[in-house]
Amino acid sequence: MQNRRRPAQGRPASNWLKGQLAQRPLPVWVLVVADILLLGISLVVFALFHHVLRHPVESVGIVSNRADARGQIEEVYDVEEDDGEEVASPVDVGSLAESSIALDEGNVAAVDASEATADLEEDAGDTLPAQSVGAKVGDYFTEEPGDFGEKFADKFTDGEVKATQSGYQSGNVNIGLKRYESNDVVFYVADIYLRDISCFKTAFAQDTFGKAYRERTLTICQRINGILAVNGDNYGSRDDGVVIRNGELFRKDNYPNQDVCVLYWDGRIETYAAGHFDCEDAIANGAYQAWNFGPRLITSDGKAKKHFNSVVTPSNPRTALGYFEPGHYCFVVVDGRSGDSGGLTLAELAALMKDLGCVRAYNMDGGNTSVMVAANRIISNPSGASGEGRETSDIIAIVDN
Amino acid sequence: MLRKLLPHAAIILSGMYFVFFFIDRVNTAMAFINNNITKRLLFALCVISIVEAVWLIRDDRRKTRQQQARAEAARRQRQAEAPRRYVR
Repeated sequence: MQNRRRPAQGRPASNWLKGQLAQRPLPVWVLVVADILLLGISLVVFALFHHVLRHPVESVGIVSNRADARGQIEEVYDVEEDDGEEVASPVDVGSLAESSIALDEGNVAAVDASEATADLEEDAGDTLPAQSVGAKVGDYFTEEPGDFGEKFADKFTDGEVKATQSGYQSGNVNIGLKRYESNDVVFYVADIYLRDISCFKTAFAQDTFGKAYRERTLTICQRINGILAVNGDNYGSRDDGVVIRNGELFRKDNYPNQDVCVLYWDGRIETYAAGHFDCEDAIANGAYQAWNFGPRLITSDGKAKKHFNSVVTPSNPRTALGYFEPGHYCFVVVDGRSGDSGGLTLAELAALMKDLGCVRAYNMDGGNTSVMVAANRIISNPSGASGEGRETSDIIAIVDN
Repeated sequence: MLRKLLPHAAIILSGMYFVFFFIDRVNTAMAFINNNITKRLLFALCVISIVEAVWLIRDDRRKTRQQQARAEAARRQRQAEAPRRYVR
């Protein structure tokens, strides 16, 4: 009996415990409870390492060449049959009551980077850094792909920065901001014309490429002097998937299981079905940005997709990138999970992007992350308690450089 | 001690995979299954399963051999006793 109560003098406690367990195993309910507790603790530790603890990741470091973006990339094809009944657009954009979003003059002045650009030019002397000063595009980069100065000449001012009734206009950028509202959905469309593709930027949270770095879209946008921004693909939540940002390949697509969207230096956007994207080819052809989230919303023959291999298809807040032609894009953010707006399904979002006239469209991270910011303020109405949108790994922004 | 802990480790790792399987279906983009940590956990589960299986097979074979040995001993004993019964 004495042996059962405590270890005998001189015997290690583990031997005593072993002896006790051999004599009398623990009750089943104790084992079950202990296993469940350990399972819970293990999941918490997993969550900690999976998406809480941050650590920088080394970039692949390959940089694409702007001059390589000339010429046509081979046609992207659809691997899946997407026939069936058409999904009606959730709203008739043409007949919908729309309201322009006027930007505050003071805030626009705050994000106008013309002063910063002037400083940059002063520092650089006569040698302008390539792809950095959009205002000089007409003088220096006319031979470069991604220069839309002549194509959209009527869209830009002579250099004056104007906060118009419906957005923002300058010598490099023209943004039309509109809010659409129907009975059960509210969404925002930013119609964007660029003089030079270098005005289309992406940025990382904490200015660091790595795992689990997160920051609010507005904060990142302010740091890079962005005029307009939406959340990106939240690459930092995953270990895999291609990441090309501002011409640099940060991460390769090792196990492709998601659609990829690529913006090339010449202004074209292509979307690729999962498994049909070649990273080396994209870089060789001048990939400027690449996102890995999706799915893509419009097929290569210009039809709105109706079927998606995803369970996140019900109505939700959404962020989408739309492409009309090189130099002309749109950002769309749909409010959701609120009384005013229930959000859109992926099929409805695809139909909406098609209705807007996009020839390519790609779904970015949605839910609480969905947010549109412009001129230092949040334009959309993000879901979630903070009202500012969930922190994200990266943003897509328009800068006036 | 290890023999007592390993089955619980297998249960816990399998339970984690059940959870990953379901939440991965809800949000594939978060890559709950396709990430480096989960791959290492899967490796650990495989190692534990193999060790457990080897122990189980070894025990099973040992038990079978013991049963056979006992049966053989009983048969020999019956054979040894049989002539005496016949003599009687």
